[in-house]
Amino acid sequence: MEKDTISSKKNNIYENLKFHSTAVFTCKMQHGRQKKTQTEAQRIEREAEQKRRIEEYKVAQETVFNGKEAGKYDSEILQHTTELLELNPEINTAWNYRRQILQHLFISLQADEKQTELETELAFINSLIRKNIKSYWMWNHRKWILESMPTPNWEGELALINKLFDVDATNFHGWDYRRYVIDNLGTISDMDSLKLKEFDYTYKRIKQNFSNHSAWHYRSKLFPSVIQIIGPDLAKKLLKKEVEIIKRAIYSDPDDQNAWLYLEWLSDFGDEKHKIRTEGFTIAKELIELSPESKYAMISVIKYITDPANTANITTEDINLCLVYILKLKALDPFRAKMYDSLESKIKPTC
Amino acid sequence: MGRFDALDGENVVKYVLSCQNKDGGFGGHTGHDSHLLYTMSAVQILALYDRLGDINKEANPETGYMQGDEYGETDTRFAFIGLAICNILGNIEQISHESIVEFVEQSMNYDGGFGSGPGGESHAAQVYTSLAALAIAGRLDIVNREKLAGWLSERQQTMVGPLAGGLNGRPQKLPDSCYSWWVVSSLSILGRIEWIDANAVEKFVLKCQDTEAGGIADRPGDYPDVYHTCFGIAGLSLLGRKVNGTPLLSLDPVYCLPVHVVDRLGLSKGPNGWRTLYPKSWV
Repeated sequence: MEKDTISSKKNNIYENLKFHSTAVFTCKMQHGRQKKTQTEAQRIEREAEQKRRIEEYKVAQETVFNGKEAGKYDSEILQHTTELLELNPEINTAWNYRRQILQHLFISLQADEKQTELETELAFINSLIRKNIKSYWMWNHRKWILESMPTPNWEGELALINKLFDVDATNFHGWDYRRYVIDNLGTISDMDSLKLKEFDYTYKRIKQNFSNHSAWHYRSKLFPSVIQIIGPDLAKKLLKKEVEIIKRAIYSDPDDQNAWLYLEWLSDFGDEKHKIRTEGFTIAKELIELSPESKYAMISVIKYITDPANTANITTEDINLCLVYILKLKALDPFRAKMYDSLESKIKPTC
Repeated sequence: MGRFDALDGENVVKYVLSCQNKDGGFGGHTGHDSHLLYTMSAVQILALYDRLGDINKEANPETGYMQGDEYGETDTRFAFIGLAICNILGNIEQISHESIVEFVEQSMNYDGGFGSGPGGESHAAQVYTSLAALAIAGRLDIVNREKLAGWLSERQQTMVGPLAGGLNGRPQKLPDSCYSWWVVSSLSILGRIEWIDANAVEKFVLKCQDTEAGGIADRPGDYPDVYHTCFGIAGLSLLGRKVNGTPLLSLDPVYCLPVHVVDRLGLSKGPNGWRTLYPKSWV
């Protein structure tokens, strides 16, 4: 019965527009909230509940903004900002005001009292952050707390981030915050040994899940520092180990792009470029023998063969192989056909 | 969608102007603190209505990388917004291009993409803001064009089922209709929009529609909202899609404004327009 065609849905865009201009339409981002089919009674109940919450929110907001207008900076108004932010942590003005209130309250406090207050503030953030892990405002406020503390516990922050990653290992706010914590730890302890530890940590995360792009990314950021720190002899060994890790990742999931990207990046890095490239080429070719449909392996082989640095060694057989791969890739992955056209154009001039 | 008349423009402008604060910036609502994010939206809306002249032009952005507000949040989003606002208001010399370009360059990653700042991992939305910033500054030449376009095209998901053809923001994440803007605008700036399948994107975005209440959700079957409706439609416009045989209004991929507005302000083909400053070798 339902005309589930694109053209019928296209018409709907206009229908919906008419509706929008008159309807009360939520502005809050609804990431991943599934819409459920409702009975009439459920709908009425839901609307009544929404109305009640909107009223509650309006009162909380008005109290806070009136306080701000009147220049109140006491613990009573602080409590009101707590209530408002619990209802909506996306209201940046309330976070700003909260910081101003706290700063006023701090004037009469000793360092240890200020520390206690800020630890309470951190506990407040901890209670909210689990539900609102993507809120930029909240992560900023957390930074402000730590920076305002007479004795910030950066190790504690690192431990907390480790725990967060046990639940969500690719949360980019968490990874950005981790690097911020490390920068701060570096001012009170040895940055080199911190970087080496962080480098090991990325391996720990990659081992748990070879598709953890956040960890691969961070590894690429740390790698240049790490080889500086350990010196040329150990750097050679490390490179060998990197290739092994890449190989294991590729074999565990050839259709995940992360390890391939890391390999490509490593192939452009430092004095061992040529060696890494050749090893990467071997990995890709071996993989194609085992699983001939491996898209990234074919791309990798084409890129190796068409690499301007390699043109002298290219045979007609190589060129033909590339052209066969291009045809296969276009059939396997038609969404990206134009990208393969571009790759193909790099093959032909060498014919 | 070419239905500008659907809202009461005079009241929209009045409301937006009421959000401007004494410091020159705009808040998210009347009486709210200024932030670059809201200032950008305000300037975009006023540009749409050709009412930029009504702004009290006190805004005086700091040189260097941009901060969101007085609390010092820094981000490639603000690098773009700072440049865009100054350019829309015709104050481009007020802001140091060099330090912004440097900040964006330091945010470039092994996969060719850009993160929220130096050290941050690549994310399609941050790629858009970084590319848009570089486009305005006339420094797209620092981008690894083929690598980044390849990474962006990999954002299109091939899984079978209702999510097929949708775009995600990072590897291993679910597709989301708002990436129709972040990914497609980025590819468009790079001149590689054809590296994804437009029909498949359209199919996914239209499946995200709420056919009862209207609007577009992040994924099929979820609650719709203004954010996803805006960026879902905006992406379809860049892809040159039509509705009932009529093309959607053409959008500029850098400023996220209709082409006629950007042309009126000379932001694209004018002497300092981003298309004028586009790398010659990319054309």
